Order: sequence, then C-alpha cells, then structure tokens
Amino acid sequence: MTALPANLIKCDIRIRQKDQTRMITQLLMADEINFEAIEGVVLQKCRNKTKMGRTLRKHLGLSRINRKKSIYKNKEEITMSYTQKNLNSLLDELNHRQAMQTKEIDELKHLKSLFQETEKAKAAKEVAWSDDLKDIRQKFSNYFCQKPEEQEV
Amino acid sequence: MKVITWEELKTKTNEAPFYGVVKSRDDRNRAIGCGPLAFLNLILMLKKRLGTIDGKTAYDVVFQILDFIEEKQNLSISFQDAMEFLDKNPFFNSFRILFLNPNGMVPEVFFQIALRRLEKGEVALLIAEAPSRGEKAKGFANHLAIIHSEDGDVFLDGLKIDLETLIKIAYFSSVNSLLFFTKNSKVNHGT
Repeated sequence: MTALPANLIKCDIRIRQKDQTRMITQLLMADEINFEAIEGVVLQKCRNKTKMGRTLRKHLGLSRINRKKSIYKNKEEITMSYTQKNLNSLLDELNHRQAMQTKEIDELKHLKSLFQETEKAKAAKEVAWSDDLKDIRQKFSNYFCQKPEEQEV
Repeated sequence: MKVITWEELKTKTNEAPFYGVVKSRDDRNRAIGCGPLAFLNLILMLKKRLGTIDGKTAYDVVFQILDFIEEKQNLSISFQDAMEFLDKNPFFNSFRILFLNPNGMVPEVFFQIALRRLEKGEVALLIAEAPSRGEKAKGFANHLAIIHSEDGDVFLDGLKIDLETLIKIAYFSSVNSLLFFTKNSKVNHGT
C-alpha cells in the first residue's frame, strides 16, 4: 500500500458538526454502507469529549468501538478513511438512498390515501384476519402474520 | 420498484414491473399513462412466468401497445380500447382470464380466490377507481395496474403493499375488478 501523507489525518471535513454526526450514525446503521471507509472518522470523533463523541459512543457502544479499533493495525488504513473525496461520495450515496426511501414511502402513502376505507373493506379485513385464512395468509406479507395492536388515540 | 426512461426500455426484456416509464415529449419529460404501463408490465411479467424468450424488448412491446391503444392528451385511455387489446392481441391466447369483481363477492370467497391465484404465480390486472382525495366513489374506472406476488409479498405495479391496502383498493368501488391470467393447459387430442 502506498503511504499517504500524514496530514490527511487532520483533513478538515467541511460539514456542519450536527449534520456530520447525523450522517455518520445513519451510515453506521445502514447495512449496505461500507463501514471501513468511515471507520477512521468515527473512531476519531468517538474519542473526542464533545457532544458528537458522546452521541457516537452512545449509538455504537464502547465495546464495539474497541473491537473495531483493533481491526486497524497501522495508521495508513485509518488515514485512508479521512479523505474528503471518500466521505463526500459516501454522503452522496447516503443522500441518494434517503431520497429513494422517502420517495417510496411517499408513493405508498399516496396509494393508501387514494383509497378510502368502506364498510365492505372493514368486513373484508375482518375476514382476512380470520382463522380460516390463516394458512394462506401466512404465505403472504408479514403484515398478516399477526393482527396489529390497537393504537391508542 | 423501478422508474426508467424511454431509452432504457431498449435494453430491458423481462425485468418488469416498472413503476413508471418516463418519456420525453415536446422537450419535456413525462411518464406514460397507467394503461400502457400496466399492459407493458403485464405482458413482460406473463412472458417471464411463461419462460418465453422471443427477443422482443420492452421498447418493442410498448409500441405494440401504443399502436393499438391511443393515449389521450391527459394520458387517459378508453377502457373499451383496453379490453379490445386484451381480446385481439394473440399473446393473450395463451391464457384463460378470470374476471372478478370483489365488490360483489363475499369477502372470504374473494380472498380465497385472489390469494391462492397470486400464490400460484398468476398476475392480476386491476381495473380500479382511484378517487380524488376526500370524494366518494363515482363508479367510474380510471386506473389500471397490475398485482402480483413474489416470495409471499404482494406488489401493486411493483410497489410492495400490505393486504390491507389491497382490500381497500378492491372494495372501494363497484367498478373495481381484477383479471387473473392463467396459463392455458395443453390440450390432449384424442387420447
């Protein structure tokens, strides 16, 4: 691996601290995001005695940080994570994913709002929950595995 | 769920359903109407279920549809045209079509039929009334979509829905109907 300049460790990430915390924690929560690319940033920030550090420690748990920390045996791997380019592309990916998720949720909400519930629909729903349809129902959506709990008004 | 451009259709064969197809018209991008989209998804999905490989792309299929069904300025189509397309297109000769009007059925019977058919891999064409927000049903069908099932989930135009939504759609209006397409079994001659 080519040695990277040491000053990359101190690379300034020009994103508001609040946004950065939110994005990093979201990145860590997402399954498909490459953890290693932001590991260095997270480790560094977790060590800080700042609000962001505390937030990250709370989200990740200290034991997890220590475990992740041991993956990196030398500075070079960590410094690679600090490049602005890497972080920007990850943030772009995150923004794209968020936009897609929001779009899908909006579409679903829109579809639901198009169709008002009628008395017949209510009756049909009761049938759908009935034991007679239990076997066939379970072959379909998880929504049908159990009746949803009554929501408090 | 996929939204793709008109040009991308040239490389797609059986990757339906598409949630939307965006077409450039008069230097502006706009989606094609629900009717041609539903038929495009229907044909591609049925081909996939049949295992048919005829070399035609989604682009070829959509022109086949648009040649027959005229889209009006507001992107609506005549349901008479839509039914005529089903009747006259030789592709659908491979299928028996079951027409269901859930609104007129006992709910339990409808569910037994619909869920079992979806489970067997049949694709349903939904003729529905998409109401304006807050308005009561007018008994006027204005929306076409397809419903299918994969791995135990139900999808409307490729968008995963829960069965509660399906119920609401099916029972909302008396014009709402589902057309299930079943592959014709082979006929034995004289044996």
